[in-house]
Amino acid sequence: MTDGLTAARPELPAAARDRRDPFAPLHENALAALLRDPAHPGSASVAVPTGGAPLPVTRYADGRDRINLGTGNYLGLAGDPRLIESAAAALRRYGTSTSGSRVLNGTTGLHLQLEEELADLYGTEAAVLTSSGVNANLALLSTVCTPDDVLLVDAHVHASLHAAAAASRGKVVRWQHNDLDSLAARLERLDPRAGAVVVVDGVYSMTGEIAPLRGITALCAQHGARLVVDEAHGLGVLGAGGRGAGEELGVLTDVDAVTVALSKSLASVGGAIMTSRAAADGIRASGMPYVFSAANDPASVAAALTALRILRAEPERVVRLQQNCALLRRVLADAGAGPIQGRGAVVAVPTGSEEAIPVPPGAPRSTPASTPTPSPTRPSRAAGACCG
Amino acid sequence: MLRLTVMATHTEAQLRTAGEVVAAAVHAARETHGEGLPAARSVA
Repeated sequence: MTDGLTAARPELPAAARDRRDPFAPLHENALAALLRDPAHPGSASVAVPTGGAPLPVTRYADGRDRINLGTGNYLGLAGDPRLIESAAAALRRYGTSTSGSRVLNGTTGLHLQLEEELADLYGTEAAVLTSSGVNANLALLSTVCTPDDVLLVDAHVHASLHAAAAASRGKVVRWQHNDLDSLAARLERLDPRAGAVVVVDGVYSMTGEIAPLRGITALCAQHGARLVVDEAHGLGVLGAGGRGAGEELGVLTDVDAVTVALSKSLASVGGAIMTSRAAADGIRASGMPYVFSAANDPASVAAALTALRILRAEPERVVRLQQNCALLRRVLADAGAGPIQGRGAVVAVPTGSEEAIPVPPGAPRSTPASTPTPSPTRPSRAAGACCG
Repeated sequence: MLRLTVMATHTEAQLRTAGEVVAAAVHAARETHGEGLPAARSVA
């Protein structure tokens, strides 16, 4: 396979030459061009693959060890022998794949056990596993709302929530990031008969800011709106039990649905929705990523289940993480590089530049490694999409 | 914007080293490109 497969089109007959190339947006994508440019300082950092588990000091494929400041392995469980052994045991018992959707032959006892224990963690009636955090948001929001209802989405939520809201049948209204006045104004303008769903991240994935959930839950109660909180970066990070921003701010019971990714603190892959039994059954009946996608592989489910049990049995890990987050923020502030205000494990430092900061040439083995985040993969003044 | 993430298993020495190296890189970037967000938002 060559670059020519994607870069060039075969010679077309004259009658077809005026047709617009539907691949043009891919070929013309400015960020993709940046990543293809080996001379750009950010591209090399993106391209260097890791050569082992994402540990505090990670061995990269170029043979260098770096302090890892770019992983979502917040609790440090990705290399934990207990997770590795549980995943290996699941592989031996169930094989590498369920080879089927959850509604066909893709459900194992491990899937059911993980759903039960996630629901128990959040105190909800049910939990639904999905194959990624992105799919958790898509499965939830794409199955709610009628065309007469409204999703009120914080402008800086994770890209998957924007996409999921767009896939719902409801009208999508954005409000200014973390601005309660903006949310209140939009709630007050709603048709009183319309259903309303407020959508936020508990911890914003590119800045570490947390949502003002006390004010948001009060507004939801005042206006009869449902509340969805994505805790992908809150799980294992905030709250005494590691349940996220909702627990940290004491409003978890006022949240109608929590979504999480299993790929960060739980050191696996997949996602989940914790909500009411009725909503969960609705997702199982009609949520596209649940019904029509292959089930999570048993090894990753087993790893997530073991990680969840460690999270609950060893709360000192969460305390240690919170202490480390505060320490790095303090060190940066003392050195005159204070980060954006936040409490999560994501620490965002304004650089004054739209460009990623390169690792200095010939840097020592202790050089930190982070992930450059050029726009549009993080919020800018003009865009609200983000990833991570 | 530079996005960093923290682990429970980082040591204090690792985080102090990382913070100092990152801060030096941020200062260099700001000298080149000017300040980014207003100072009021840049707090720990």
